[in-house]
Amino acid sequence: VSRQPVLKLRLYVAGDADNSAQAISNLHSICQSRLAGCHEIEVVDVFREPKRALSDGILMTPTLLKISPAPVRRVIGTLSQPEILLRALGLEQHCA
Amino acid sequence: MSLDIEARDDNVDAEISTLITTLHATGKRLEELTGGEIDAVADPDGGTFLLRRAQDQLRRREAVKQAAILDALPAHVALLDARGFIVSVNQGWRSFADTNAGSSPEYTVGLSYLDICENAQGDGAELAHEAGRGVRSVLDGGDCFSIEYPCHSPLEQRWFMMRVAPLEDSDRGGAVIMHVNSTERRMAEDAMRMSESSMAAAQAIAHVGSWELDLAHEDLEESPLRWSAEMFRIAGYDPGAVEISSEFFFSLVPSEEHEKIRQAIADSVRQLVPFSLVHRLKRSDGQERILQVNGQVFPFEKTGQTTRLIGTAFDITERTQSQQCIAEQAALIDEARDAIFQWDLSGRIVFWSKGAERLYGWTCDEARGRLLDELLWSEQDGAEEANRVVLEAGVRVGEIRRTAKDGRVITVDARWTLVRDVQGKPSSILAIDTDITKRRDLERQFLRVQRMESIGTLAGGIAHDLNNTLSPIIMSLDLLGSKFPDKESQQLLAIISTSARRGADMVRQVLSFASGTEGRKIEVRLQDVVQDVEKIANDTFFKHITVTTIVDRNLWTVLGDPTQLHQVLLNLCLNARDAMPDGGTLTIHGENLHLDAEVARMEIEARPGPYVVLEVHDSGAGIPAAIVDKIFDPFFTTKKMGQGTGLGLSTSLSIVKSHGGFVRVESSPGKGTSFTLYLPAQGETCAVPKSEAVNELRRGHGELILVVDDESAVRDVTRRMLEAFGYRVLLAADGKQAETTYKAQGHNIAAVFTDMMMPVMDGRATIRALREINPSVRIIATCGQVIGGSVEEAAELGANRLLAKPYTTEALLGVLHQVLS
Repeated sequence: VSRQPVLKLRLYVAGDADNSAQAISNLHSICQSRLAGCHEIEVVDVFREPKRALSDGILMTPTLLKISPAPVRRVIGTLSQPEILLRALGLEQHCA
Repeated sequence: MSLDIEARDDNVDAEISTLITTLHATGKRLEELTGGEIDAVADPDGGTFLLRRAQDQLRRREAVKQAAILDALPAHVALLDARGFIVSVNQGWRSFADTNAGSSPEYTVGLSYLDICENAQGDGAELAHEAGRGVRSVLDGGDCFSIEYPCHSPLEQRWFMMRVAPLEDSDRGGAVIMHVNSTERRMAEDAMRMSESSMAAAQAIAHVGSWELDLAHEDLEESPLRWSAEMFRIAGYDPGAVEISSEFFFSLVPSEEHEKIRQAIADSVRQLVPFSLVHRLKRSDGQERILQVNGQVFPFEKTGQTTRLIGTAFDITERTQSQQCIAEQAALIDEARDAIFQWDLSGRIVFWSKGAERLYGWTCDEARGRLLDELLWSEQDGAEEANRVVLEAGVRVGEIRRTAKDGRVITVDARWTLVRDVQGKPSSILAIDTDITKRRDLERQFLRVQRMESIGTLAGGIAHDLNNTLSPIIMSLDLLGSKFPDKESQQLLAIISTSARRGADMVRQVLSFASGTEGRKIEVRLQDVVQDVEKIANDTFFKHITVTTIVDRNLWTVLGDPTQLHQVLLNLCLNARDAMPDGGTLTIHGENLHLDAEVARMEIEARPGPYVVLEVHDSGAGIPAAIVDKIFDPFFTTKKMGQGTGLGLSTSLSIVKSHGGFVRVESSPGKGTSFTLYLPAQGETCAVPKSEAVNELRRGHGELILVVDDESAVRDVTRRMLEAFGYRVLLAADGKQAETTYKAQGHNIAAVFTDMMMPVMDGRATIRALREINPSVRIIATCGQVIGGSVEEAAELGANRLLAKPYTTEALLGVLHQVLS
């Protein structure tokens, strides 16, 4: 059975600050509508895990990190525009 | 961090100013670069710096969230600062302030809550002051404080609970105040308290305690126990004064009752049935009380498990004591010999004591509910009449004859008392019947004895006169016999002799009956007596009565009076004849019998030893059972008036008894009757010496005898008799003469022969007078009423010998011989 490679995403947020909350909500919405069944999302709160943000070289929150498939891409902001996001992550095939 | 504002220099100020500008510029530029889409940036050291906009947003959101939570609370919440001023309030507080605007200006932000509390006046002032003190103590660093206070509106009763809590994580101090409407809880509590206090009051009034045993624990002693207040009081403690546990409870109960209680509880729990038991309990003051305990398992409502045993306890000491007292009284009533019973106004028996059972023969079960008239018929008094009298007078005392169950008629001394019920209405009659049948019988017997005594006195007097009449006849016969030796005269003399002697015997019989004195005591051959009686029976009874005698030839002799024994046997034969008016067989049976101790013990009058048994049997109708007990009663007779005196059997019995014997009667209707005489025997037969030629031996040899008698005929005959046998005689007609004569010739007189019954100076006085002259004078006394003639009797009179009148020559000579030798 040939499976699509799993899309691993990591979102860095700053607690429940407005932009961060918006980013979480937007990401879930996009993933559900465009990438159903083939993604993993990890949300990291920089207030709780500051060391991880440092090791990933995150300068600002919210920042979305595409970990796999390679190459690693990062998107900063509230992720309010799905087309731009998908393209930025190199997932043009999923664009509407 | 604290900065010394005064000390810093202008450079520092300038630098701070630059930094702030840079900070603002940096923030602004970051926002521009990211389009306002980021919240935070990373510090170089790994920390996170939240942008100012994000910080403002968060703070605002937090405030809104908290406000929403506070507003949603059904409580009125206010925040006070350290001085007690209201800083903020929640929606509840505001709306309460709105609805109570008029009366509650205190619900306003910016006012001092402390002032409001402390300056309060009116009804709730005291509570408000207390609330103020509580708030102040919390603001001063104390712990939480709470108070409940009423806050009634015109429409409803309300209570509030105020809680004050310190703002602990605030450096500036302050407190949160919360008012919660507690009316509902309060009402529920009041209701509970009310029902509990009603319960306690009810228990106290009824003196019923209650308890609750937790069954969760295996071991009863370990199971938690709770007592109600009244339960404490029953045990003699102030409510709550001691720690209650099963162990404590068992320590109050005597150890011998522990097992009973455990068993009852165990059974009740296992079978899910209520239990009830009585046990003793030692009160705190040491007094032992008796408790009635009832208990029941109550399944726990939710789970259905049997976890609780709930019960009551009731002190029944007094009740038990009074019950005991009643039981004792009842026992006393039952112990009483009297018949105690009670009947209601309709005449039905309602109470029947053991004494009544004994007296009347009806058991309590038989008697209860029966009609009095039906049970104890009385000729004099029916229940109706009795009730009437008792209802009128309240009490009735009198003698009544009642019929017992077995038909016996019982004479009772009855005392009847009216019993009234609680309302004072007559309800029943209480009777106490004392059996006086025996007493009445004794009284009758006593009267009879009295009558007999007077008859005896009368008969004694007559007997004396008769003896005086008969004595000369009998005494003359011997003399006449020697004077008229021709056959014809001798025959006539024999007839006269027989008649006179029989007459004398009859007098003796009358005397023996009347005075009951002992008859003569000589050896008697009963076979001779039987022979005599058989002859009389054969001669005089009708021919259709067959007389048979079966008598042992070697019957032992008995010591007694042959005349009396003759009389007894004849009497029985006459009765037997009368019992067989249509003919039959009369059997006289005689045999020796040795009663051993064993047999003797069965007969109350019998002594072990030899007996001669005479049985007189008839084949008549038999004696009815009802009268068999009475046949020996004096004057009891079944014969027609004038045909019998009723003295026959009673005299016979008294004669047999005076011989130391007893009589048994056996009678079965239709088969006849047996009278059996048991007479103590001498044991061996000894030939009765025939006294014939003894007279010669007892002849006098010229001794001088002084004869004293008021009857000249007796004097004369006695003189002739004595002179015929060789004595010389002096005569005296009374005591005075005798005294004179003895004074004159006493030295010549060998013996004095004196009558006892004399006018003026009787025998006793005469003997005394003579003894004064010569204490050793030999005296023979003679008396018509003395039958025994023992030495003791003589001594009692002062004489040496006593001779019964009338006497034969032989007897007189015998006595004289004894006295003189």
